[in-house]
Amino acid sequence: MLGDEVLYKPVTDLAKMVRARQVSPVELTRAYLARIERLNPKLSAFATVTADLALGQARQAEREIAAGKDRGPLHGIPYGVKDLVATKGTRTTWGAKPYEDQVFDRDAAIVRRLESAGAVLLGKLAMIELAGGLGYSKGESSLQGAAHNPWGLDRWTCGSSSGSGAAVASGLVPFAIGSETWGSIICPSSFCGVSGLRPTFGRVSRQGAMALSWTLDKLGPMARSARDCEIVLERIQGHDPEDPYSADEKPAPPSDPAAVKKMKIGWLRLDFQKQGDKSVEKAFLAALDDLRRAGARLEEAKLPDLPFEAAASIVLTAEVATAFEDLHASGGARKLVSPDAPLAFVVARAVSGPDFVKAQRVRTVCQKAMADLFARYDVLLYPGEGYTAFPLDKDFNEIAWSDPVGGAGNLCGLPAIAVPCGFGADGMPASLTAMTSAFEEDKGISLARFFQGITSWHLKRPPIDGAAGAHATGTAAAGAAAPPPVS
Amino acid sequence: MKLSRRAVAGAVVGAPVLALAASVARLGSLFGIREAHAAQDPAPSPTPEPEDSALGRFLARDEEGLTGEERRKVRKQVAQLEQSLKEIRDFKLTNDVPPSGTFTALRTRRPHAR
Repeated sequence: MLGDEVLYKPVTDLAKMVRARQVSPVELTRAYLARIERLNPKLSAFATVTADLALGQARQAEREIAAGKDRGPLHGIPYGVKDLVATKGTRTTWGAKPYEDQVFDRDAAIVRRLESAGAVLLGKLAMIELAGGLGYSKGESSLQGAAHNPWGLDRWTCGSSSGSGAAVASGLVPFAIGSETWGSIICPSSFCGVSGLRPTFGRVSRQGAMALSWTLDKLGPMARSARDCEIVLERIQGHDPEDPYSADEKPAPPSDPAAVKKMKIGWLRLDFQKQGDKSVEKAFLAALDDLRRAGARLEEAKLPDLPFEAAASIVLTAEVATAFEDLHASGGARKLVSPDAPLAFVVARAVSGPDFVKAQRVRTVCQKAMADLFARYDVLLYPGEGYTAFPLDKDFNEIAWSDPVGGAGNLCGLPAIAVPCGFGADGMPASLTAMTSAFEEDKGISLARFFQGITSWHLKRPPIDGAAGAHATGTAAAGAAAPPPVS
Repeated sequence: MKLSRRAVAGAVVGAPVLALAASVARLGSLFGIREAHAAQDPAPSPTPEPEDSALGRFLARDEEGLTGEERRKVRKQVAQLEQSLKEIRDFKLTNDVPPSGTFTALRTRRPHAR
């Protein structure tokens, strides 16, 4: 059986090993399945494990590779997909009791694309019920119960791509597909210490994925490195007429870490006097220092003073309420874990037609302002979250905070990538996030790869296997423990 | 999908959005963001809860099958959402600003095109 050190390797390394016949797709798949069987009871990362399907796909990949057919770097590489993405013949629960027996007869576009790339589907990853669309106040608001953070089993993973974060962080999968409407890729990536890419709105087809908000939903990869996220993006991006919001754009160009020194990079200061964990700020500022020392030119930037969050919240409130109106009509919302879920439909009635249209008009102004801002900067950096993962038993009613950068990015459909940049005082991961202009994922990935080339935070492993020294320094000044993944 | 207005108000970055942040953060907690670690949370400055509005009272009363506690929550959440609504309603726009997103006429696709 393959050791954990192999299962924690990035896709870039696994792909080389598969091609060099150092490891076979079947062997790799069996090893991940065994690890899932061993660790998933602790983590609740998976909703459904598709062992038979995975082994079938792995055998096919093995035959093809042996016959000289090469589908690219994902050929024979296992992965998991958030359980809001349809998979033919396997239940797709949307994380919610009313849909626990739901089975689709067709794979979603993203699953079809990954199958075409030769990837091996290990299973469906747990998530917050209905991606949190009707509200929740506890991490346990999922058909699968609370997902546990591999860095501290008494901590939450964040949501709603909770299983995706836990599975990647604990080496149950080399990469996962998550989704973000507002924060659901960036936050779990931050809390779980993995790399997560929120693509531009429209970059990746959502055909076959649960609709929460038609104008905010995005699907994207979560993986062990920025380069791995890029490799996955390369295979899942592209126009799809079956998603009416799919963008007919050229593929993102390849990233170029060497170009970072020529980039105009802005960074956004969050007011940690008013909110957040000072140790997270310290990790973020240290990451900026690492970048400066490595030759990146940074200057402080400011978000335009516009009601990003208000507009996003109104659009979201209205779209969510109509996305699940059948659930409301049937009384099914009462079956959700979150007791307040049914109230979301009532509250949404406060948004009138003119309010919704006005919010969409304000959105136009916001988009223009952000486009103008990115005429001055190639990349904007900010802490992915102001906090580290909080205790699982925490009631979110008691505490919350504002997210203007995430509000701006999601309202305007802009891409962002979060990568680990250290640890908070409690030993839980913190992240550096790079946002760029629409359809310029390559710039954010370039910066993230540059950062991962001078640090080793992304190579740290959680103590889920009893590993010691997981919180050792990873700054450039301390000396990166290992070379960055390159391909 | 609920919020601590007290904590939110203390946590908001931009002063202009102090009031709306309550409802925004309520929504934010939906999506897995903005919830803070209690032990790390600095003492927020107390801010008064938004008052119930006529619309909130109406919506809470109008919906059948809610408990008294749920009606109270509806009133509270509507009051919070109305702060975001006010921000948007007060935002000045000229006539030439269209909604984001483009409506397009849908072309018929025939199996046997001419």
